[in-house]
Amino acid sequence: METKQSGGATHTATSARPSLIHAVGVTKSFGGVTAVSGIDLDVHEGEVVGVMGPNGAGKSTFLSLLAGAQRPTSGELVVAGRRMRSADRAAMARLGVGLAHQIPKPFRKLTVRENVRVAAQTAPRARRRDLVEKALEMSGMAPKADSPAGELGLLEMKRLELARVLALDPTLVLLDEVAAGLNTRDLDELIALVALIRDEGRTLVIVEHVQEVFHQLAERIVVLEWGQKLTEGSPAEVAADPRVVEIYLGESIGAEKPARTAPRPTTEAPLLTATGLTAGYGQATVLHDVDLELHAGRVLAVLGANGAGKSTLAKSLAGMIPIRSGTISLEGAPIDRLGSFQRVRRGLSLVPEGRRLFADLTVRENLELGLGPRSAADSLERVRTLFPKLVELSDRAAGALSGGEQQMVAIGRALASEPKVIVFDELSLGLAPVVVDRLLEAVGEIAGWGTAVVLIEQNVHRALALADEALVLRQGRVVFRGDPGEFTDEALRLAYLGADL
Amino acid sequence: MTNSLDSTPKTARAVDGSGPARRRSIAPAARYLIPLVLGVAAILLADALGRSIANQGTELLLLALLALSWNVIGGYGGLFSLGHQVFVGVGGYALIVILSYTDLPLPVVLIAAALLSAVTGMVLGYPMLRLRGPYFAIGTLGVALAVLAWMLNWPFTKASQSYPLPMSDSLGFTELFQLTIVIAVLALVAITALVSSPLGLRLVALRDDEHGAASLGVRRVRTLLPVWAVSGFLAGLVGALFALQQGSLTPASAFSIQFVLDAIVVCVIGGVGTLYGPLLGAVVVFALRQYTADFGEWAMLIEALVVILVVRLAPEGLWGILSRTIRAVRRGRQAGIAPQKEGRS
Repeated sequence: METKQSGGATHTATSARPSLIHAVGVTKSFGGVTAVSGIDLDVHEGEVVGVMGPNGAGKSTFLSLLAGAQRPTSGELVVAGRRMRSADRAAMARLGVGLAHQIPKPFRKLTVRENVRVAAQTAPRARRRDLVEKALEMSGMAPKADSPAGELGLLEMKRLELARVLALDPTLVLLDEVAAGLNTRDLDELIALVALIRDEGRTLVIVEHVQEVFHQLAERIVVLEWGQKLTEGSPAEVAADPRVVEIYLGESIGAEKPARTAPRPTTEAPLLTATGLTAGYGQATVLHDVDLELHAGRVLAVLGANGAGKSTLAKSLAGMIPIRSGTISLEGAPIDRLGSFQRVRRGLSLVPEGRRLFADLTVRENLELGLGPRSAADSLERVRTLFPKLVELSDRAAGALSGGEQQMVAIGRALASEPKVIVFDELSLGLAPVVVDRLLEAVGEIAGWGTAVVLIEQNVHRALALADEALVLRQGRVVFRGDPGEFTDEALRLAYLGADL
Repeated sequence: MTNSLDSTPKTARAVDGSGPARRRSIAPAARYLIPLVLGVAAILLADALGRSIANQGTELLLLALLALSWNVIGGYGGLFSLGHQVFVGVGGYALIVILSYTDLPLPVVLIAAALLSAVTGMVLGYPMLRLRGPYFAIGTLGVALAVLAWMLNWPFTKASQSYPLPMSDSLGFTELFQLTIVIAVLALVAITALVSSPLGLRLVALRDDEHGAASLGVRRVRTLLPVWAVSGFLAGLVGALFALQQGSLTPASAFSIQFVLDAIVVCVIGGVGTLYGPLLGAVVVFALRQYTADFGEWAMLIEALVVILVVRLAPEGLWGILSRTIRAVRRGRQAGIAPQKEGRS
């Protein structure tokens, strides 16, 4: 059970404390792909270590090794005193290693409190109740303790995810991109919560894209690239390292590229029209009375805070959920009664949130599944020209690709059906800036082909730079519609923070 | 901090006010008391009913018990067992064999038979519960077929011949009905306790998200094994009572796949993974079978049609519809009107 304490020789200040993570040459391969390669790392009790790197760098894989979700292919890894020779999540949880997942998946049919109670059962019977109540209190979920977990919003689900981890009374907390998908205000709340967890003396390993989290929390940052450790140091050291700047930010430092060339005149009839669109789930009406009009070759950016109804709009346009009232028409013909597959045949494709690829099929098979009656012989050729990288990835299983590569496949699959209108739902969610740049560039090219684009995007400024028109939702209603140039910071604040500020 | 998430105080209040009340729609004590009271009433009433009604009542309760047993693992645990007939057969044969060789009192023999069935479950479950999804279903079906083949050739249980219950141990229709009521009530109480226990919580967590549950320290086989044993115990009781009702067993009757198919049909119609769904489903299926008894082969077609309609129109089963309606009515009364008034006053 004794773990070595001397591994991190560079960190004399911390090496006196016992080591919670001791990794020497840790490697993890999936088939031919090496996701994590020869990583050395020591983390001592009470430390807060950030792990950063571009998409596909192996951050999440490394975290899953630490959590016992997977077994290292080779190398020596000791976490919380357990030698990681086999995968066993439950054993790690019982040793006090808690993993908060990037995409929270609560037990939907249980209440919030019951969700937390599941985790508390690793503790002795007498302590369970206290652990549950404390975790609920700390995470701010106490007022919602008796609500079914399936009815929570995204931020609440993330809080619940942390509450569940806290109820394990963990010594080591692993956070996998907990900030993904949150707007600024939610992010501040989440960072405050993580800081609370740190102040209790728990050790944290944080994988994150959102830099702010590191600056406020991490003492030491490990930078990964292509599965290897590029460098390691304090946030300031890492931020100053030119190699880090290069791999992480890429060309996006010069991201202030001019807005797209002047939008085409819009004299012709609109391709896509929606009037009075109202939709929702169960008893909740999420989208109220939305109108929109979109012409060929133009990009419509749909913006708004979390829960504003952006994804609901995308899903109702694509026919993934039924609409309550209103109309949707494509080239003047109503399509709101059609199933989503029929809409694809008419020329409306969706790139869904979370990509929804067929993970076991190859890239080529995924793309071919996108072909439809409207496709031409060279439909896939067009995709390969847009994303040349997909050619070399052709025979790889889609599930083994990095997030950015998967998004390319998802876009390619939607393009294979030769859509007249393409809807992107949360294009950049969880992807590194340099990848997002490439994808947004592709969106511009797609619009250049004459395809109408609906772009649902978290990243407001980038989306606005690309868009010909903007549509801003707040609590399911349109609060702004028009030229992105007229969309001032004032309007932005209104949409994201509310009129009362 | 959390209140700032809610856009208006009105919605925050609605959630706070109606949430806990809704969860406790059936107060914990009542969930135990109501079946006990109904059970006592039914036992007292049973004397007044005729023998034929008592026999039908036994059949209905056996169907319900079997469905309750399957629902524990299939509904709450999400493990689609196709092998529950093994438990029924082991329970039935155990009862008859023990009664034939010993003079132990019937309650002891009943419990012994059910325990033997539960132990069988533990032994088979240890390898089986490592399987998931369709593999578990196929695995349990395979075991059941293997056990049936074994029983057809085992001289100790008279191979494929009929094994009679000793005459001295047979019960009257009314007595058997009363015994079945007692067992059914105890089973319902036990299941109610199980699903609201920490073990039941882990079980549902495993079903909803296995990886997520593991990340919170839930060990799969260790959680499922006791539940599987409880399910086996209950199905063993069904087998033992079935033996008492039939008076004799053959491998083909006691290990028939019809048992598990009945259990699944009843659970699907009543509501998989709900406490009272199997009871409601048993009543519906039993009544349906009574009404269509004269239709010959058409009866099966009608039953199949009902299953298809339920799956298509009400995947949560009849109990799901019922409880949703009750909840909607209640919410309409509480949250729909009350909080708005509160907000204004």
